Amino acid sequence: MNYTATPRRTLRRALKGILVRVISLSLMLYVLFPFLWLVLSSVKLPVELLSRPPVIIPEKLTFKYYANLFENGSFMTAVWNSLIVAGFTTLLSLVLGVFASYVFARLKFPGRKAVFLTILGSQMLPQMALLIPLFILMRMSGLLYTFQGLVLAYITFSLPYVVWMYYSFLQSLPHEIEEASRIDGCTRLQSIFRIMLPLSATGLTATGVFVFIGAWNEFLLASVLTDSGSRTLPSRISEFIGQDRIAYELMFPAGVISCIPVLVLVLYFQKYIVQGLTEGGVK
Amino acid sequence: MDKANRFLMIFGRGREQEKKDRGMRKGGLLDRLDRLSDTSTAYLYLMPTLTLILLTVFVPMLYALFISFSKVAFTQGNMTYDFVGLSNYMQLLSDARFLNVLSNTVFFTVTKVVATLAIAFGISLTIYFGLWGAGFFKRIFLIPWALSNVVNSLMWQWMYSGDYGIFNEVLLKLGFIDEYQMWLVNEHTAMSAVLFADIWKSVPYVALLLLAAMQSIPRELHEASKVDGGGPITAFYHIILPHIKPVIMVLLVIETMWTLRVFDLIWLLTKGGPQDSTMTLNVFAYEQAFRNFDLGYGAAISYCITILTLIFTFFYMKTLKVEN
Repeated sequence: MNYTATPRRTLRRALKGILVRVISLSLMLYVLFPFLWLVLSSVKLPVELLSRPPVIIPEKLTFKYYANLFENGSFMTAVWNSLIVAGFTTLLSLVLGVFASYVFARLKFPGRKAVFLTILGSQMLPQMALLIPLFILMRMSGLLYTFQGLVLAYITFSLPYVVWMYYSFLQSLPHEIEEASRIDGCTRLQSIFRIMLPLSATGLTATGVFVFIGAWNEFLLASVLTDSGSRTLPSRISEFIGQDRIAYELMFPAGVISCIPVLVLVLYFQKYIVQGLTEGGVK
Repeated sequence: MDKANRFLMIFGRGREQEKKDRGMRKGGLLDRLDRLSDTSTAYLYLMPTLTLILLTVFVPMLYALFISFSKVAFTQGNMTYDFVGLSNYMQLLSDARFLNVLSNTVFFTVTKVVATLAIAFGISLTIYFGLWGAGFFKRIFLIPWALSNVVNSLMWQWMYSGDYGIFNEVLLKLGFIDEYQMWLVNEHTAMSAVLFADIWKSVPYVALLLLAAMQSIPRELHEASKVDGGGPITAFYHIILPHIKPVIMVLLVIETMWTLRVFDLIWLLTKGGPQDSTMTLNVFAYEQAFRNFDLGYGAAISYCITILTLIFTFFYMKTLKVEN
């Protein structure tokens, strides 16, 4: 054994360990800090919130403004609206998307590739280009400022997404069990509902989570296609910014509240979300 | 087998067969649907999806083309169209702001895509080569991706604040600045500030895909390289880089497509200002259509974005095809 080299080797290993920890910690800080700062800011009293230099750790935590928000009618309406819109968008695009994905994953038919590309391609169009005609068409048909209108606009983007993502989940599922069930006398619909759906439950859930998060977070379409009665959470929060006095103490709790469902979903379904993100080349 | 049993078997089977025959002949709607050929089933199942996409994507896109050739005016709650031919497009080309907006868009897109990939690459390499607290990091890693752009802009606006911003305080303590700066109101810094926030949000997704590509590298390759006496740098150039090159190509195209449509963050942080320094095509289209209510002009601008996006979609499809 080389005795002289041992201390040096130990030192080198220790240095390497420190370096790894420093890099790792700074990465975590980079990823986490903005959100941590928002959460911290949401429980500060205005004295500490609006101070210079900023107070890092508040002496006194307050949940007063969270409570204020829960009593704020228009805010709670927006939470409710967001739930309705995101919920129905998810439900409808899953129901329609399941059939479409099934078709692409299991059936061979003329025009398959062209139809598939059409559906996927429609998702690549920029939302801005669709928003202007949608605004006018919805205004003419009376859908403007209604939940139905907004859900319809969201489905435009979520449906192709569901088709793509659920399709890639279905492809990784063996056909044989479905085929066996068909031979045993199941109808096509029975084999979809009794065999395919239960087997792909995780894929379906992951797809649903993606759609829900997307609809819950959406701002551009909501800012144009809703009014004060049908405002969703993101467009309601953006209004806090525009008010005559910037209501920081309400804005930050509102922001945190709007994150809670998404963070719960992301942390709970992490594994499937990662799988979905890496499998489909779509955000 | 005794007679009675045989009789029962035949009788039973006959009943079953009879039922089946009847089902085949008359059948409910469900039975009839079940006997359709694959092609008919496919189009039947696709019908709702296709109808919806036709009505909400293709009809509006065509309609947008029509709008982009018109001047739309609101008079007493009624909309009127005047067909003006290419004049919206002409207006765009001769708009003094257009060139600036276009160059902002290109600058924003290129900087964002390159920086996002570079940072994401660093992160994924760190995770790949062993990260302290990897379990925790993997849990929090997707937070920026999951937050809405509204919350994202809320956070960054607060951190950049010229009065109470933590960003200013940190830079001041580190000695980079002498006094608090209004990062989003200064036309020289606004663009970088917005870019920084947008990159922060995009990094996790890109890092995740890069990491997935790295983790699919067979272990044997690394071992072989070690046996041949190669260090980490050799491994990086000769194993990792060639292996993840296809993914990098795909990511370049996807990120470019997605960056071309960035709107929320810029609109919420700066509204395209100050002095148009953060005005990109998307923000410009929105401002013209929904602030100045010049829907025709807005449609013309957004058609330019569409064409840019289609070009990239084309490249995207081509890259995917090459990779597959």
